[in-house]
Amino acid sequence: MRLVSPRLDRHIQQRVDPKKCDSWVFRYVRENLAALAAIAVRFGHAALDLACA
Amino acid sequence: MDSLLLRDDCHFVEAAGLRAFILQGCYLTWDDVRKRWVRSGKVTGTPQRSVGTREAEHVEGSKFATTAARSSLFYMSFPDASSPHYTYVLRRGFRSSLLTTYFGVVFDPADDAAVDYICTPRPVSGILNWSDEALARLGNINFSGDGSLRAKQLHATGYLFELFYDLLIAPADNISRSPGFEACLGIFGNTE
Repeated sequence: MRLVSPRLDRHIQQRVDPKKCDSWVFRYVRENLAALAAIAVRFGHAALDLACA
Repeated sequence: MDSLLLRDDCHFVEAAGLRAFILQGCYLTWDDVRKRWVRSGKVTGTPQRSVGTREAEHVEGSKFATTAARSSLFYMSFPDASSPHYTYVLRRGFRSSLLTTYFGVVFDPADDAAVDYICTPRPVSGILNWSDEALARLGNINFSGDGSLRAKQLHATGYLFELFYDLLIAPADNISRSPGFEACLGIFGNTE
Protein backbone atom coordinates (compact mmCIF):
# COMPACT_ATOMS: atom_id res chain seq x y z
CA MET A 1 0.00 0.00 0.00
CA ARG A 2 2.83 2.36 -0.82
CA LEU A 3 0.52 4.71 -2.68
CA VAL A 4 -2.23 5.07 -0.12
CA SER A 5 -0.55 4.77 3.27
CA PRO A 6 1.44 8.00 2.84
CA ARG A 7 -1.77 9.76 1.87
CA LEU A 8 -3.39 8.56 5.08
CA ASP A 9 -0.37 9.76 7.08
CA ARG A 10 -0.65 13.16 5.41
CA HIS A 11 -4.39 13.28 6.00
CA ILE A 12 -3.95 12.64 9.71
CA GLN A 13 -1.14 15.15 9.95
CA GLN A 14 -3.03 17.92 8.18
CA ARG A 15 -6.68 17.44 9.05
CA VAL A 16 -6.88 15.65 12.37
CA ASP A 17 -6.62 17.31 15.77
CA PRO A 18 -3.30 16.10 17.24
CA LYS A 19 -5.17 14.92 20.33
CA LYS A 20 -7.16 12.53 18.14
CA CYS A 21 -4.37 11.23 15.90
CA ASP A 22 -4.05 8.02 17.92
CA SER A 23 -7.76 7.25 17.68
CA TRP A 24 -8.81 3.69 17.04
CA VAL A 25 -10.54 4.80 13.85
CA PHE A 26 -7.24 5.24 12.07
CA ARG A 27 -6.13 1.76 13.12
CA TYR A 28 -9.46 0.54 11.74
CA VAL A 29 -8.76 2.34 8.45
CA ARG A 30 -5.22 0.93 8.20
CA GLU A 31 -6.47 -2.58 8.90
CA ASN A 32 -8.80 -2.22 5.94
CA LEU A 33 -6.64 -0.40 3.40
CA ALA A 34 -5.89 -3.53 1.39
CA ALA A 35 -9.54 -4.56 1.31
CA LEU A 36 -10.59 -1.05 0.30
CA ALA A 37 -8.00 -0.95 -2.47
CA ALA A 38 -9.19 -4.30 -3.78
CA ILE A 39 -12.80 -3.09 -3.80
CA ALA A 40 -11.93 0.17 -5.57
CA VAL A 41 -9.92 -1.67 -8.20
CA ARG A 42 -12.59 -4.35 -8.60
CA PHE A 43 -15.21 -1.70 -9.30
CA GLY A 44 -12.92 -0.01 -11.81
CA HIS A 45 -12.77 3.12 -9.68
CA ALA A 46 -9.03 3.14 -9.15
CA ALA A 47 -5.94 2.33 -11.13
CA LEU A 48 -4.90 -1.29 -11.23
CA ASP A 49 -1.55 -0.56 -9.67
CA LEU A 50 -3.30 0.62 -6.53
CA ALA A 51 -3.78 -2.95 -5.39
CA CYS A 52 -0.26 -3.98 -6.30
CA ALA A 53 1.66 -1.04 -4.94
CA MET B 1 0.00 14.00 -5.89
CA ASP B 2 -2.31 12.96 -8.68
CA SER B 3 -5.76 11.51 -8.42
CA LEU B 4 -5.80 7.75 -8.02
CA LEU B 5 -9.43 7.64 -9.03
CA LEU B 6 -10.21 6.95 -12.65
CA ARG B 7 -13.07 8.60 -14.48
CA ASP B 8 -14.73 5.85 -16.40
CA ASP B 9 -18.38 6.07 -17.30
CA CYS B 10 -18.58 2.30 -17.38
CA HIS B 11 -17.80 1.96 -13.70
CA PHE B 12 -19.06 5.10 -12.00
CA VAL B 13 -22.81 5.25 -11.80
CA GLU B 14 -24.53 8.60 -11.53
CA ALA B 15 -26.52 8.98 -8.34
CA ALA B 16 -29.86 9.57 -9.97
CA GLY B 17 -33.32 8.06 -10.08
CA LEU B 18 -35.11 6.03 -7.45
CA ARG B 19 -32.07 4.04 -6.38
CA ALA B 20 -30.39 7.26 -5.23
CA PHE B 21 -33.14 7.45 -2.62
CA ILE B 22 -32.50 3.91 -1.42
CA LEU B 23 -28.74 3.51 -1.35
CA GLN B 24 -26.41 4.60 1.43
CA GLY B 25 -22.64 4.65 1.71
CA CYS B 26 -20.05 6.78 -0.05
CA TYR B 27 -20.75 9.19 -2.90
CA LEU B 28 -18.40 11.25 -5.03
CA THR B 29 -18.68 14.72 -6.50
CA TRP B 30 -17.38 15.39 -10.00
CA ASP B 31 -16.57 18.86 -11.35
CA ASP B 32 -18.00 18.78 -14.87
CA VAL B 33 -16.06 21.84 -15.96
CA ARG B 34 -12.60 21.02 -14.67
CA LYS B 35 -13.12 17.30 -15.20
CA ARG B 36 -11.94 16.14 -11.82
CA TRP B 37 -13.14 14.62 -8.58
CA VAL B 38 -13.49 17.23 -5.87
CA ARG B 39 -15.04 15.52 -2.86
CA SER B 40 -16.22 12.30 -1.29
CA GLY B 41 -19.11 12.13 1.13
CA LYS B 42 -20.85 9.68 3.45
CA VAL B 43 -24.49 9.06 4.13
CA THR B 44 -25.82 6.38 6.46
CA GLY B 45 -28.28 6.05 9.28
CA THR B 46 -31.90 6.22 10.26
CA PRO B 47 -34.45 7.60 9.81
CA GLN B 48 -33.84 6.43 6.30
CA ARG B 49 -31.25 8.60 4.63
CA SER B 50 -29.78 8.10 1.19
CA VAL B 51 -27.41 9.55 -1.35
CA GLY B 52 -30.42 11.28 -2.90
CA THR B 53 -31.54 12.94 0.31
CA ARG B 54 -27.97 14.02 1.06
CA GLU B 55 -27.66 15.48 -2.43
CA ALA B 56 -30.83 17.48 -1.83
CA GLU B 57 -29.30 18.79 1.41
CA HIS B 58 -26.20 19.86 -0.50
CA VAL B 59 -28.31 21.70 -3.08
CA GLU B 60 -30.00 23.61 -0.25
CA GLY B 61 -26.65 24.19 1.47
CA SER B 62 -25.23 25.79 -1.64
CA LYS B 63 -27.89 28.48 -1.31
CA PHE B 64 -26.42 29.49 2.08
CA ALA B 65 -29.72 29.58 3.91
CA THR B 66 -27.94 28.92 7.20
CA THR B 67 -24.87 30.30 8.92
CA ALA B 68 -23.41 26.80 9.06
CA ALA B 69 -23.67 26.50 5.28
CA ARG B 70 -21.72 29.74 4.88
CA SER B 71 -18.80 28.20 6.76
CA SER B 72 -18.62 25.19 4.45
CA LEU B 73 -15.74 25.22 2.01
CA PHE B 74 -17.72 22.85 -0.21
CA TYR B 75 -20.61 25.28 -0.55
CA MET B 76 -18.32 28.29 -0.86
CA SER B 77 -16.41 26.51 -3.60
CA PHE B 78 -19.54 25.57 -5.54
CA PRO B 79 -22.33 27.94 -4.50
CA ASP B 80 -25.73 28.28 -6.05
CA ALA B 81 -25.41 30.96 -8.72
CA SER B 82 -28.34 32.90 -7.32
CA SER B 83 -26.87 33.22 -3.84
CA PRO B 84 -25.53 36.64 -2.82
CA HIS B 85 -23.24 35.10 -0.19
CA TYR B 86 -20.40 33.55 -2.12
CA THR B 87 -17.00 35.12 -2.75
CA TYR B 88 -14.90 34.94 -5.90
CA VAL B 89 -11.86 34.12 -3.78
CA LEU B 90 -13.14 30.68 -2.86
CA ARG B 91 -15.50 29.92 -5.72
CA ARG B 92 -14.39 27.20 -8.14
CA GLY B 93 -17.65 26.86 -10.01
CA PHE B 94 -21.37 26.92 -9.52
CA ARG B 95 -23.43 24.16 -8.02
CA SER B 96 -26.19 23.95 -10.57
CA SER B 97 -25.33 22.04 -13.71
CA LEU B 98 -21.60 22.00 -12.98
CA LEU B 99 -21.38 19.25 -10.39
CA THR B 100 -22.46 15.65 -10.79
CA THR B 101 -22.82 13.17 -7.95
CA TYR B 102 -21.81 9.57 -8.49
CA PHE B 103 -22.10 6.52 -6.31
CA GLY B 104 -18.83 5.47 -4.74
CA VAL B 105 -19.39 2.28 -2.75
CA VAL B 106 -23.02 2.03 -1.74
CA PHE B 107 -25.40 -0.51 -0.28
CA ASP B 108 -29.07 -1.00 0.35
CA PRO B 109 -29.51 -0.98 4.14
CA ALA B 110 -32.62 -3.14 3.76
CA ASP B 111 -30.68 -5.85 1.92
CA ASP B 112 -29.77 -8.29 4.71
CA ALA B 113 -27.29 -10.20 2.56
CA ALA B 114 -25.43 -7.02 1.68
CA VAL B 115 -25.40 -5.87 5.28
CA ASP B 116 -24.13 -9.31 6.37
CA TYR B 117 -21.36 -9.04 3.81
CA ILE B 118 -20.32 -5.69 5.27
CA CYS B 119 -20.70 -6.47 8.96
CA THR B 120 -19.33 -10.02 9.17
CA PRO B 121 -15.61 -9.89 9.83
CA ARG B 122 -13.07 -11.24 7.40
CA PRO B 123 -12.02 -13.93 6.86
CA VAL B 124 -15.32 -15.54 7.85
CA SER B 125 -17.43 -14.28 4.99
CA GLY B 126 -17.24 -10.51 4.99
CA ILE B 127 -15.15 -8.03 3.06
CA LEU B 128 -13.87 -5.86 5.90
CA ASN B 129 -11.74 -6.36 8.97
CA TRP B 130 -13.58 -5.76 12.21
CA SER B 131 -11.15 -6.03 15.10
CA ASP B 132 -12.39 -6.66 18.61
CA GLU B 133 -11.21 -3.16 19.45
CA ALA B 134 -13.17 -1.57 16.60
CA LEU B 135 -16.36 -3.39 17.56
CA ALA B 136 -15.97 -2.57 21.24
CA ARG B 137 -15.30 1.10 20.53
CA LEU B 138 -18.20 1.32 18.11
CA GLY B 139 -20.49 -0.16 20.72
CA ASN B 140 -19.77 2.78 22.99
CA ILE B 141 -20.51 5.47 20.42
CA ASN B 142 -23.90 7.12 20.32
CA PHE B 143 -25.13 7.46 16.76
CA SER B 144 -28.45 9.20 17.10
CA GLY B 145 -31.25 6.76 16.44
CA ASP B 146 -28.98 3.81 15.66
CA GLY B 147 -28.42 1.69 18.73
CA SER B 148 -27.60 -1.70 17.27
CA LEU B 149 -24.04 -2.74 16.61
CA ARG B 150 -24.88 -3.54 12.99
CA ALA B 151 -26.27 -0.06 12.45
CA LYS B 152 -23.12 1.38 13.98
CA GLN B 153 -21.00 -0.80 11.71
CA LEU B 154 -22.81 0.66 8.71
CA HIS B 155 -21.99 4.15 9.94
CA ALA B 156 -18.33 3.15 10.31
CA THR B 157 -18.38 1.58 6.84
CA GLY B 158 -19.69 4.80 5.35
CA TYR B 159 -16.94 6.77 7.06
CA LEU B 160 -14.38 4.19 5.96
CA PHE B 161 -15.22 4.44 2.28
CA GLU B 162 -15.61 8.22 2.47
CA LEU B 163 -12.11 8.58 3.88
CA PHE B 164 -10.56 6.03 1.53
CA TYR B 165 -11.97 7.72 -1.58
CA ASP B 166 -10.98 11.09 -0.12
CA LEU B 167 -7.40 9.82 -0.01
CA LEU B 168 -7.58 8.89 -3.69
CA ILE B 169 -8.63 12.38 -4.82
CA ALA B 170 -5.77 14.68 -5.88
CA PRO B 171 -5.11 16.91 -2.85
CA ALA B 172 -5.08 20.06 -4.99
CA ASP B 173 -8.58 19.27 -6.26
CA ASN B 174 -10.03 18.09 -2.97
CA ILE B 175 -12.19 20.74 -1.35
CA SER B 176 -12.83 18.80 1.84
CA ARG B 177 -10.96 19.70 5.02
CA SER B 178 -12.81 17.22 7.19
CA PRO B 179 -10.90 14.64 9.21
CA GLY B 180 -13.57 12.01 8.57
CA PHE B 181 -15.19 9.77 11.20
CA GLU B 182 -16.64 12.88 12.84
CA ALA B 183 -19.09 11.07 15.09
CA CYS B 184 -16.42 8.58 16.18
CA LEU B 185 -13.90 11.35 16.88
CA GLY B 186 -16.44 13.40 18.81
CA ILE B 187 -16.61 16.17 16.22
CA PHE B 188 -20.06 17.57 15.63
CA GLY B 189 -21.61 20.43 13.71
CA ASN B 190 -19.42 19.88 10.68
CA THR B 191 -21.37 20.86 7.59
CA GLU B 192 -19.04 19.30 5.08
